Amino acid sequence: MLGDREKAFSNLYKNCLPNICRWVQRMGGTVEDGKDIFQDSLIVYYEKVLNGQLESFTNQQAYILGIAKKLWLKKYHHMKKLVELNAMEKNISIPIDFYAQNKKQNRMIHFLETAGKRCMEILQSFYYHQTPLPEIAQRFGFSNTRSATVQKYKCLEKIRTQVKTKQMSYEEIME
Amino acid sequence: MKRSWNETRWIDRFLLQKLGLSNRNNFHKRIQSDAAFAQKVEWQQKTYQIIRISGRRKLKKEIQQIEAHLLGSNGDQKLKNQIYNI
Repeated sequence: MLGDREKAFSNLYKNCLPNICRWVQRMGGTVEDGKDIFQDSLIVYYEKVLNGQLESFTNQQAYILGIAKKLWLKKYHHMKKLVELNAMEKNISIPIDFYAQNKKQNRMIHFLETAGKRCMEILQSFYYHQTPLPEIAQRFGFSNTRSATVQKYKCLEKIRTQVKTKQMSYEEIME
Repeated sequence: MKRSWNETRWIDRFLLQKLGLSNRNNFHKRIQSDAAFAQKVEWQQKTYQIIRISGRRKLKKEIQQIEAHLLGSNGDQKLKNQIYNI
């Protein structure tokens, strides 16, 4: 999955999306709702693969359907009584901040993705996608892994300072 | 300057739970004795959250492109039938 994301996601679409759309429609949703919840399910699944949180015997299709059900419940709490979860599905955890963005954070992210684009890309590669530093060095044109490491920390400092400054100024505006 | 990113690296290793026990104890002592340092730790943690959320958004866009390709006019007919003829 980590080697060729596009291919892995395409296969998951073919293997899992029809089931999820069927389930969502049974819950009263549309195909569009099914596609949207599936996109989010893939993100949660991807993070779990990266973080080594999947048991090796896990049935991929069943697990992704379980994530979709949990996400559906996170969005539509009132349907709790209608959604039956088996033991495996009950144990699936969803990141606490998955649907928890607020306006301030949205503005901050927009600002950082514009003003600190390259740094954000480097940091996302390392912290989010867990890309190895030698690969980051090559992709971003650093002469070696050491330069990539130093740049990563400098970027982290820069973005940390921007997050602090921006958040404080947003708080002043809101007050 | 060097000290500054060394400190960032130290915080990074702490937050990613990569510090050994004695180093971790030193880190806790520093947090308790140095308010500015404690704040840096807090902001760095917030920064990771921002990176994660932003990473998710980009990944969602990437997934949407794959979806558009699979379900578009030249996409996978079998998959389209399975989805739209439920």
